[in-house]
Order: sequence, then C-alpha cells, then structure tokens
Amino acid sequence: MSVVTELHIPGKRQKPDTSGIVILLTVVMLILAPLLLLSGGTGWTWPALVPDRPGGMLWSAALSPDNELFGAMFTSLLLAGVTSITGTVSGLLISRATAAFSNPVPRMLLLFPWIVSPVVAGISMYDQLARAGLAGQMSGVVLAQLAFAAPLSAVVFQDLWSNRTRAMTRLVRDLGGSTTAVWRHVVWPAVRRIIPVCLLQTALFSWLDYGLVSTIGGGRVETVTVRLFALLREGGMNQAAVAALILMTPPLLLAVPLAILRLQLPDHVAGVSREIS
Amino acid sequence: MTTAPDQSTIATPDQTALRAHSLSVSFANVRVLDNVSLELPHGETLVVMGPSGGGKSTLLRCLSGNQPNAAGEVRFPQWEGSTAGSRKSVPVLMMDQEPLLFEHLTVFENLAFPLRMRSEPGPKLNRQVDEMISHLELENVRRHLPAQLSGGQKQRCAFGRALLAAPAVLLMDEPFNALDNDVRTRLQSFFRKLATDYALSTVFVTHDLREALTVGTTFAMLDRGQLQTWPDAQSFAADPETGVDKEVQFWSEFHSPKRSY
Repeated sequence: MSVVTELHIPGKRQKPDTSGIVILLTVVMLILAPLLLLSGGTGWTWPALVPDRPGGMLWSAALSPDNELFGAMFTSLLLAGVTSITGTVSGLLISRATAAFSNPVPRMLLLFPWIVSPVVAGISMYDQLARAGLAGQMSGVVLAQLAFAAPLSAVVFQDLWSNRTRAMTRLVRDLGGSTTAVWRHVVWPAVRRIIPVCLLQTALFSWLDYGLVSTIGGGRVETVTVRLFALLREGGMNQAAVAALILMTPPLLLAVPLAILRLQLPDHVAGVSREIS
Repeated sequence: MTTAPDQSTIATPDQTALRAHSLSVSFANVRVLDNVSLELPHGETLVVMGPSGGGKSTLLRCLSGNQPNAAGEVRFPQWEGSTAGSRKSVPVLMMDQEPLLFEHLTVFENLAFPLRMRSEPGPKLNRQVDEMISHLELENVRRHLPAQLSGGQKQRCAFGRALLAAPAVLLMDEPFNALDNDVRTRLQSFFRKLATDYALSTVFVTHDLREALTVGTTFAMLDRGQLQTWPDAQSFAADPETGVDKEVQFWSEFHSPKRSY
C-alpha cells in the first residue's frame, strides 16, 4: 500500500488564492444576472426578484423575422463579415508596407485607433463620406470601420516581417521563384495562424461598434448596438435586455476559439492580440 | 578545299565563374571594402578569412547583389555565356550560418523547390532529388519537416538544395559555425567531396584556419577593406602573414613530450 503525503513547506501557501476569481465571477454575474432576469419576462414590481409575467415571449418576438432587432442582427453580421475580411487583408498589406521603412513614423501611425475614438473619427469622416454619397449607407460604415480594422490587423501582423522573412523572400527569389511563390511559401505559412485572430478581432470590433455606425449610418444603418440604444431611449428595458444579450452572444461564442488560437500563437503575436482586446 | 579557321578569331568560352571589379562599400565614413577585385575560376572554392568586422560578410552581400550602398561591378562570365536568359540555373545563391529551410515543406520538398521553380518534369525531378538525398545521407528523414531535423541535417538539406539550384556561384557565410565540432568536421569533408563532384564554384567565408585548409582551393584575407589572395594552399600556408605557421608551431609544441604547463 502506498501512502501519498502532501508536501508541506513552512511559509508556503498550499492552495491557490481564489479570491480574484470570486471577484471576477461577481462582476460578471452583476452584469449578466439582471439582463437574464429582465429578458425572461415582462413587468416588474418592487421588491420581487422575477418579472411579473415570466416567459420567453420577448425572445420569440425578437427572433421573429418581422422584428426590427432581427433585421439589425443581419445588418450587424454583414457589417462584421465585410469589415473583418477587408480589414484583415488590408492590414496585412499595410503591415508589409510599413515594415519596409526603417523610420518608425509609419508604424506609429498604426496606433491611431488607440488615440482617436470611433465617435471622433466618425464626426471627422462624416462630411467627406456625405459628399461622396456614402453617409447613411452600409458601404460608408464599412469604409469608416476599415479605418480602425486595418490598423488593428496591421499591428498584429507587424512582427511577421522579420529579418528571417526578408531572408526567406530573398531565397525564394534567388531560387528562381516569382512573387506568387513568395506569398505561397513565405508569407502564407507565417500568417495562416494569425489570420483567424485578426478576422475574429476585427469582426468583434465591427459587431460592438456604436460610434461609427451611429454617426456615419445616421440612423439608416440599424445594427444591434443602434437598436439597443434606441430601446433604452424608448424605456423598453426588457426588450433592451434581450438586445444586450444578443449583442453579447457572438463575443461569448468567439471568445472560446480566440482563446484557443491565442494559446497556439507565438508569444509576441499573442501579446499584441491581448493588448488590442 | 576547306581552310582551317583562324584560331585567333575563335572565342574561347570564359571559364571564370565570378569576376568582381573595384567593389567599394563605406559605412559612416569607414571604408569596409576599398576597391576590392577578385576572380573565381569555375569549380574552385575561394576561402575568405580575416578579422571580425573586416568586411567578409559585406563582401558576400556585394557579390550577391544585396548590399544597398555598394559601388563596383560583379559579373558571372561563364553563366552569362552559357545559360543567360534561360531558367535552368541562377547566377548566385547565398547560404548563411542559419540554414533557411521552408518549415512547412518536407526534406524532399525543400530539395525539390528550385527544380519546381524552373518547372522540371516530374520523373526527372524525382530522380534528381532522390540522388541528392542519397548523396546527403538523408534517406531516413526524407519525409520529415525541418523542425524534426538536427542542425547538421538542416545544413545538409540547405546545401543539397543549393546544389540542385545549380548556381554559377555559391556564397557561404560561415555555414558550419553553429554546429558542434564533430558534425562540423564531417560536413567540411562532405562539402569538399560534393564541391568536387558537382564542380561547384564557391566563395566560402570562415574564421577557422583548419576549415579553410579543408574546404579551400584558393585563399584570400580581407582586412581593413583590402583583399590579399593566394592561388593555392601551399602558398597560403607558406606566407607568415596568414598565421598558418603559428598554428602549426602551436600544435607541434602541444604534442611535444617536453611540453610543460
């Protein structure tokens, strides 16, 4: 019979400190619990904990095709899809271009999404987009979101253009390879694990954006965030709770693959993606 | 009646693999290369030695066309005369201390890369790569990815790929430096054998005198931007400036029974 004894070192804590986790869970539940309660019925009388008329009627109404929130979900999904793809591709090209400069100024410009908020950018871009007939259009919102999504992606891709990548590019050229061969055998193997992270992050940025959609969209492009604010203004707290939970669902669902992808990424890229989000 | 052609009018093919003329490079007013000229006959290995910071790597970058602020001229007469314009070979290829392999390709595919780039037909490609794998003694790892190889295997794979690319001139910048002594000694002999078999024209930079004498057929010293050359190992070893005599003396004394510490 073997006896397993616990190693005891005086002065060392034997159990991990869980107080931080408790605080985190409390904060999460303080946000989630009221939303779940509010979306689970209509009417509420103080000091009751549950709605007066509990049920899934708000959810079935929100998910019916003729509901405005349902339409807003499709608009948000379309915007997130288009912005993430165009933002990731242009971010890759921008990062390649800026890496070619030894001067740090072009790379510093990539940090402007951290300096300018979407609302400020929306106000400054509105006039030009209105002149081009793009204000109040989905295409105008995509262009405005691209101004943020592309630099976000470019920062993540920045470290790819290392001395090794340059040496590999030169090698492919010296071995008689074309530009296509360089992209296929040098760039693609290096970026393929980072592309999903960029796609997810830019999609989340677009999905959660309110500032650009409200200023550039001018009320004619109605996303879930715009609908949520409209419901709050109208005082429909129960419907607003449903909209808020719908808004939170994709980030919650995407958080799992994003966390797995980050674990598989090189440290420097995972670090950048952590900073951005 | 036919008359024999006048021999003086027949152009003999130029057997010079590399001809560099008046290469000059300066960094912040320091002349790293000062009007350096050199010629490399076909099939020879020119070993370039010299102190650190003496401009050896700069010289290789100049010869490969990758030194931005260089002046002078580099020609590949034999390549220009025979295959210029075709895609059957490349003029120059550089091999660094760190073997640059395609991490997503197997050993076989890494070796096949230059052949695929020049659209070599499948059966010929397979035969050439199989032969090279056999020469390189990499049969056991032909389906392995570079991450699964040892340092010596990686360097052999990179060297084999360079041979299949058939460059007019191969530039090697201390290629065996990162390897341990046994592997290094083995690869030096291995290089010498394949360089002879494939009539390879190489400029080989090294710090190691023993490596220089093992792999080289002609020799050069680069110091403060000036290049001094020796046509063979005998003249190189006989010149007191090269330090070979001091090395020989050290080992003689080391092995002497009278040695005391």
